[in-house]
Amino acid sequence: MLKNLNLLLTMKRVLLSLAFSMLAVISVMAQSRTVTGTVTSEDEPNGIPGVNVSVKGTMVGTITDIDGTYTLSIPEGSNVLSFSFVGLETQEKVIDNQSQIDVFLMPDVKTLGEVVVVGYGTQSAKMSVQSISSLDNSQIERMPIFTAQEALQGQAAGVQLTGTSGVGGAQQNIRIRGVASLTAGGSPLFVVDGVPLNDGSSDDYANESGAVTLNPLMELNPNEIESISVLKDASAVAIYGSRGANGVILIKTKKGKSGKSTINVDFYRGIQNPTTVRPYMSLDQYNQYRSARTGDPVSSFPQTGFDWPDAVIEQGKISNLNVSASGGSENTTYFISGTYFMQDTYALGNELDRFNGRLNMTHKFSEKARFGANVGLAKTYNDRINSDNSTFAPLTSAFLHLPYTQPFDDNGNYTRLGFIPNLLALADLAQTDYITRRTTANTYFEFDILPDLTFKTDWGIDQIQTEETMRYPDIIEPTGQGYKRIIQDYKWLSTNTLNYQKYFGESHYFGALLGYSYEQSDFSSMTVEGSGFVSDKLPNVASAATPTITSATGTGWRLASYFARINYRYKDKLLFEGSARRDGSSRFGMDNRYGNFWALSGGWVLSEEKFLQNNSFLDFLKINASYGTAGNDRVDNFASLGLYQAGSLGDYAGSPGIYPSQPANPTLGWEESAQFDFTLYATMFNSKLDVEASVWNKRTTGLLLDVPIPYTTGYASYAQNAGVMRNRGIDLMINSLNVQTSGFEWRTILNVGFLENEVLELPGASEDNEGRRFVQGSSSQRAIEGYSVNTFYLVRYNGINPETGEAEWLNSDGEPTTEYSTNDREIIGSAIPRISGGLTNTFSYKGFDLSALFTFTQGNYIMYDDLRFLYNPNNLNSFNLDPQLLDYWTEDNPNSFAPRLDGTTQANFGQRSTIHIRKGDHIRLRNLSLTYNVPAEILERTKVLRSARIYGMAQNLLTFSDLEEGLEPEISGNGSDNQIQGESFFTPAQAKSFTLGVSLGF
Amino acid sequence: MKNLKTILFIGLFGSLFSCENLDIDPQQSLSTELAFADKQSVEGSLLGVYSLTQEWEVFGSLPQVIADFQSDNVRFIGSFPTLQEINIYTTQADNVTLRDLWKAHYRAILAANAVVAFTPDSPDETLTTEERNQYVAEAKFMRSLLMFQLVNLYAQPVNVGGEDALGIPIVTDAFSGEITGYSRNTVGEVHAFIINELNEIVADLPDTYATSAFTRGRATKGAANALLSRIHLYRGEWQLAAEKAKAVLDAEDVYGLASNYNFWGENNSEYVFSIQNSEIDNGRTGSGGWGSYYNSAEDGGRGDAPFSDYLLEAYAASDERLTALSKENVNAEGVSLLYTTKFPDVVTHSDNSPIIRTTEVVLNRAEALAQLNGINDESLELINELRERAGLEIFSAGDFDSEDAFIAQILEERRKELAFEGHRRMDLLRNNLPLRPEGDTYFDASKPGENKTILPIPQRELDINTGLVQNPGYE
Repeated sequence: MLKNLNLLLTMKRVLLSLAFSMLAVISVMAQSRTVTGTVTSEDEPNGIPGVNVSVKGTMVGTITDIDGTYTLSIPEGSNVLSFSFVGLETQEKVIDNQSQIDVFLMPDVKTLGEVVVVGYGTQSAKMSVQSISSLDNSQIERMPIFTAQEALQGQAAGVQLTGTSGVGGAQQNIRIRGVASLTAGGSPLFVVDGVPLNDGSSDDYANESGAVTLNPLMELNPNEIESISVLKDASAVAIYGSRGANGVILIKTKKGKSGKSTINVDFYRGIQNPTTVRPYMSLDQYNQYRSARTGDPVSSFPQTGFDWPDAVIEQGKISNLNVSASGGSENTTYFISGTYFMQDTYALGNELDRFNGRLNMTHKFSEKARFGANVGLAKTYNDRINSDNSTFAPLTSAFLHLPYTQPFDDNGNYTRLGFIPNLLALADLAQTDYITRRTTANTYFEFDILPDLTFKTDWGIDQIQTEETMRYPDIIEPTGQGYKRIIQDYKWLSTNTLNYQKYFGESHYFGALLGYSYEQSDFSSMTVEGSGFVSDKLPNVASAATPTITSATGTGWRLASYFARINYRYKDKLLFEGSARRDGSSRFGMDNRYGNFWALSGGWVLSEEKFLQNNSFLDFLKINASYGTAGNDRVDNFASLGLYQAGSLGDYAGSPGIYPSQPANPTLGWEESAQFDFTLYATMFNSKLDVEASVWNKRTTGLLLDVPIPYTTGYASYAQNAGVMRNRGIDLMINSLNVQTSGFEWRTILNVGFLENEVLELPGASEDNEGRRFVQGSSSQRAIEGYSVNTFYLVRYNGINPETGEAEWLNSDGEPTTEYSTNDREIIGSAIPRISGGLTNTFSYKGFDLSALFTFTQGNYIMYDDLRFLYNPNNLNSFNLDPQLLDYWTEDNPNSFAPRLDGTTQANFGQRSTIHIRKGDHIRLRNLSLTYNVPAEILERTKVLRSARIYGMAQNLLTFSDLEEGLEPEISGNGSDNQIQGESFFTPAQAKSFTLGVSLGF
Repeated sequence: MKNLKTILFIGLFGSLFSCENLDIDPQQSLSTELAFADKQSVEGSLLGVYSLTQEWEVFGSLPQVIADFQSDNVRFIGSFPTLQEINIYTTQADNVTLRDLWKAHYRAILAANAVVAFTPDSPDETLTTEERNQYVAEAKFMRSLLMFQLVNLYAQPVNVGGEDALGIPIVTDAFSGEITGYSRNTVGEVHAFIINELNEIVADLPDTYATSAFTRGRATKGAANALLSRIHLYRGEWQLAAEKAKAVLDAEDVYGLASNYNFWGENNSEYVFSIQNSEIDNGRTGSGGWGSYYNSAEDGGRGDAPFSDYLLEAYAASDERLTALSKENVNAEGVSLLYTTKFPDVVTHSDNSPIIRTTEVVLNRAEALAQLNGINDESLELINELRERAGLEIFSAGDFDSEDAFIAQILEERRKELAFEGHRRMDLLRNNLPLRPEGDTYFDASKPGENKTILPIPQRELDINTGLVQNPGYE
């Protein structure tokens, strides 16, 4: 397939050269002065033959000779030379008085993108019939981000991404083309250099400090990534079978190239602050409110306060140093990279360090045999605070502490504050470390059995060890408490494929892939906990008087798969592809152990047809359609068995015991998503405008549903393949080079996804009073038949009645009432955005690049559960409160926020209702960057530097929304739980950061 | 030829990885069949029943603290909205804490039902008929105890709502995969079921076990009789209440009043039945537990439930039940609060859950006899024993003007003896007394028969089980 692309390029080159040669002849008459020079690139340091050199604004031009040199006569009045070559970025140079101009051309990113990474291989982007969003390293590099997922935000149509919280190391909640499951995992499958990563979807990865579980990409440095492919439609994901239903993200790390070794050094450093901080009462306000409530004078209350939120929010720091080298000989290439990343977030007691190392290499034994290895090593050290729903989280408890609660006693010692702990003591004295050590590696051997038939065997591992250490001092947990949990997950897989591709004659291309893979994960954990320490200076559980937990567990899963793919092309005009996979998983019931998945797709390159060949604007036009299936296996390892569990929940009075923990379900099987996709791809106006639009419909059946059963049976739910859900939408990508003049370029990229999620059937689920079946996700939201999987279902708050001063809600008939009842709950809206996307504008002028990425979401609701605490008048003297409570009803203040203080609705004012919900629509300036590329002339003078750039970036600089100060629109307080989205419980806001960096190439 | 070799090589290489074995067993669990395969596992399944009641939502303090927050012994300094709404009588049917309470009870009932169903058929022949009968009897005791706690929380007391008031579903099946929508039995049916079952099993239960932890922490004849005594007392069946109490107290080598309040925390004659907790095995969760509710923040608890002013007024200053069992704490604002010391282990939560104490049985008998015989010597003797232990003056018959005054004094002693153990709510309601004294903001809402003196059937259950009916005021 590459061969064909090269052929096209060669022809284009020849034609262009001819044209320019003729032009050169024509312009001979006007010549006045002569410029010579050599054009080189990274790949061809000795000179590139065939580069078009033209004089801007004239018809004068030439091409470089075999050594990459050129000579050109410049007509009077012209002063700019333009150098262009297929696959490289066009460059322009001012001539002035120079007679020699040497040029170093950079690879053209857009052209690199013309080969796209697909499951178990690569394809020509233009000839592919799969629906894939691709990112290359220029869209990832240098962003002050911790994991590569963050780079996807707003840069891939149909990918919704929500930062779960502003705490360092928090996972990103990614949904590709909607959520296709209720209870099973909703995250895509991540595959790095062919190794599917452990994604920590199982409960076994649960840890002590809050919602953040394993982020599959936590140990991968964004600097090491060459490209990311987001596989979206069935034709792309079916080859990943039982794990493809949520989409697949393929990551390719950087590889070396033959030629001179190059070294890159990149360093940035910056500061971080919260995008928003919620309001809270000062001591004066609190005393004033308390006085109004109790009738006691303000003077009878404590007069010295402490500003807790101010004490736990500090200016964060972020820095990153990456050094890499790559190069190679004719037979061997290498890429080696090392990175140190450090983040001290704005939340007190939350720091992050990461060391990454990577070595990728390839070697050719002979013309027929090759081998290679990709090895990534990382250690992440996370000094974590608890994140969301925990009183140990500084950004939760700081807003709950009464404003007169003091962190220090009269002698300056920390005070013991109990249930809502002394956060300053916690940050200062407690140890809360989470260390991850990870090796993700693969080695492969490739052999050309026939010129067109290649065998490849690949052995990969993803080995994780996490070590969580907690040590709470006496002031936090009396006598002190220690905890350590070590998890080891050793996963390996073997993948064996046969790949065949051949042109039969001029018009028939045939490709086939056949493969087998086996994957196995062995997991073990050890947990110890103890309390009673002589001193806070003794860090380990061994020093505890009373061991309270001593536990060791093990579990695992296995997956065996057979897969195949066939491609056929007729005259590069009609395209066909079929793929299939058969998976067997240890996770499913004996009766449903194997699942089959498949996809068929076809494409038509309309621009190759005669009727479209003679138009002036269309360069390329293709339509694709695909249909196929994929599955989801993210369920507990032994979900199908009836179980009696052993352990402390079964033990009694020092004797071992067991208890019934799970009912049997031998028929438990796969969730299956069937997806239809229709895509149109067009390139217009000399490749200045690319448009890709997809319409898709994904229907998931056999939804793994924990069908709730009456608790009176003794169980809470029964796992069943019931339920049907539909996601459908439109993905749109527009990439436009708006302006291209000498020295100035303006490019716009728009990615937008329109999404509609609807639960179609929930057999066996509960019925609400309207007869709609539903599954409850939280106290605020449900999956309801006929509505979104994340539908907020709440009592409607109607405001304060200005006449009576009482709070009013709407009953089910829509009439105002002062009686709050959960039976009056109604459907409010969905937590899933209808529209989400990003808009990137890049301006280049001389050596300067200015780039702005706006991301946006529309159509979702967010429940701020924390407001139930802060708005609740009953919490007087328990917690700090929202300052709006001071705006209570009086005859002089009839349009108030809160009810009259002596009102009967005061008691129910804090009850859950729409007073706590907001629309999540927002636009955010996610990334603004300014880069200065040091000109080649200066670089040449240094003799050492090959490239140099200086850059500044701002993240989350501006947010436009209707939300009040303090409410962050981008949260997912319950992590990636499919059934609870868009809820916040004091979830820390995203960070606003400013970084400055420098990037040097040698 | 060379290609053929290569293909053969690949075939061999590929087949190396084809020996897939997708059958793997869980490592921390047993299949249901293995759970009753032999004596050890049958006994393990039985102990699992007790263990499930250690949970926070069962005997791990939640039902007890809910009862306290509804009545007048404690002051609510809480933080949890779901407990706060119970405290201020605005409880809603979707209260998740109450949902979990219901769930945890029926989970333990299922475990008991499985022991009742599968133990007789266990294939292990070394398991004797006597042992099988005892295990079944223990499981039946536990499910009776659990259902009684539920019916007291979720239904109007029999003296208020009558025998036909809606109770809770009686569930005796071990889940087979078939989903049954159990409906609510009446309070009378639930009581009759429990009384009948307890009377049946007394003979199969031992007097004591080999270890004191099991004698106090597993079902015994004494425990079954004591529970019967309590049920009859709640039903106003005074003769039976007095008889069953006597059956317990007659076992003097096992049960007897301690001489002072140092008995707390030990397995001794003061305990008829107490759930055994330890540092490594207890029901405490992040949401609470005995130690965390009833200890001050400074001691490491949540400090949610100090003595109320009402309770403080009830005690004489020298009452040792106050002086020996409380601790003062000054909060951040400088206000002094008193906390009980009945559950001192706020660090490792090893305090046992006191479910039935000898003191309660003594009070049961004193009250029942007073109801039967008016002011009588035995009742006087029984409460004087308690007053002496508390360092107070004893009463004589002449101190009381009427039978009612005498009964009221017995109930007052009961309040002070059993404070913070979850008894107060039912002791008020079954005597047709409001849960809060006159003058309290919630006095009216707390009167017997008021809707929110009992808890709502969880909305979640009503949603999937149309056979259930909600309590009035929660529809």
